[in-house]
Amino acid sequence: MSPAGTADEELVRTLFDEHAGPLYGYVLRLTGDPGRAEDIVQETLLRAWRHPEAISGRPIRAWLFTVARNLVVDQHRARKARPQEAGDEALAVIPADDELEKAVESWAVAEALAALRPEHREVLLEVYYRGRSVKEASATLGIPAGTVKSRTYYALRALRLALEERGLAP
Amino acid sequence: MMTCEEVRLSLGAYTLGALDAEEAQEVEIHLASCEGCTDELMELEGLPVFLSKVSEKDVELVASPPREVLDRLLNDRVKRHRRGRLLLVAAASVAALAVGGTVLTTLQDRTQPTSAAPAAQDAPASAVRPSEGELAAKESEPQDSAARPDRSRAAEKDEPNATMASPSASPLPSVSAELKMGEPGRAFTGESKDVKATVTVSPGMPLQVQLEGVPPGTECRLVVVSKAGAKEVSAPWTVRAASYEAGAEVFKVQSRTPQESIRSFEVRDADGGLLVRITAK
Repeated sequence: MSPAGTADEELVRTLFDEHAGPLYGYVLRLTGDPGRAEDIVQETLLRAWRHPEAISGRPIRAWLFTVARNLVVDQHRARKARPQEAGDEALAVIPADDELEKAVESWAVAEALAALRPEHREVLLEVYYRGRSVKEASATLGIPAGTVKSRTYYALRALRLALEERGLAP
Repeated sequence: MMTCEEVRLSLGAYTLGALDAEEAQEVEIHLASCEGCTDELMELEGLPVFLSKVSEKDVELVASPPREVLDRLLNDRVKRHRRGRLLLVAAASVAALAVGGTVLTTLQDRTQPTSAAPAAQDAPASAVRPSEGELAAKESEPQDSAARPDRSRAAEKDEPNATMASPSASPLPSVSAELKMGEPGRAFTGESKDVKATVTVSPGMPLQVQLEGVPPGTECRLVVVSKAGAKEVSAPWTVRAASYEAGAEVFKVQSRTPQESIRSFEVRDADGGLLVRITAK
């Protein structure tokens, strides 16, 4: 084994040990298909190994999640482009590319929101989605106005972090 | 004057426009002269764009499995745009397509319930939106049949004891060109003490199963018995109350057994108990 080969092996093993599990969980939740999720995880890690320059000096996890999401979209495109095969019944109907991409992006944001604490989601629901003022949210949630403010702040910080971790940073 | 800490804690509400005018103005006065707080604001300012990508309902739903959210997002999107395309309910790579009262499952090897089974079990859960279901049913009819290869034709050999291989394990050649459109299906009916079932067989189409007398919540599987005695067992589906009572629930099941080789169908419950047998003649 050449030194380069050993280093490669080590990189692959490190990538796998540290990221394969969470990445698989992420993709499985997106695709709902264990087999396809495995394929996508493998391909994602393979790309990381092929392009060490892409992952040096930045959070690997975020890069991996982004690549995995793109692969899900690409795979659907590829499936749409070729004739139907057995097992593709569920994919007989596929939305247009842009809509699939948007749906996957929305899914990714929803998934990031799922990582927030329930009280953080709750305050975002009130203040952003239902358009309530601090005072109104305070009355609805039964917490002091100051708590609504600080909770909104921490909710946004937590959201930003969750997005960053998934390669969706604003 | 507000302190930096007070301003920081208010920046979230400020970003989302939830402060009253007076307080917002105080924050702005502070921001005008404080670089640190301005940097902090910039960190938060991009977030509403992301929040806008999901709806209030999605956020309420995120405690449930995210895949349902994706299903819904796609539904909504397609519904919003209404380009006459098909509605993809189970969006990304799921093995079961659930459209309103219609559940499409894939027959699979009973001994290897790996990928299709969990997804198929999920299907009824994602099929709970009747209005979108109606839309889906309307829009999906024609293209649905056109896009589907003739499975029965592809599986010429009727091997004894051959259950279905998992979908990805046995790619069959695409024979959609041979698809006979508009050929009428044949309906077979069977009755037991409590249950009546109709299976409609149409060339190139999934089998359609309609049930009467099965209590909602019952998990069912369809067994296709060939003349040679081979049995195909479908992934399970669950009978749901609402659409079932309306008589609208049709379960679609893919079978590889050629139509002329089918001897009978059996509908069995989760324990394998026979609910009803339907003879195909």
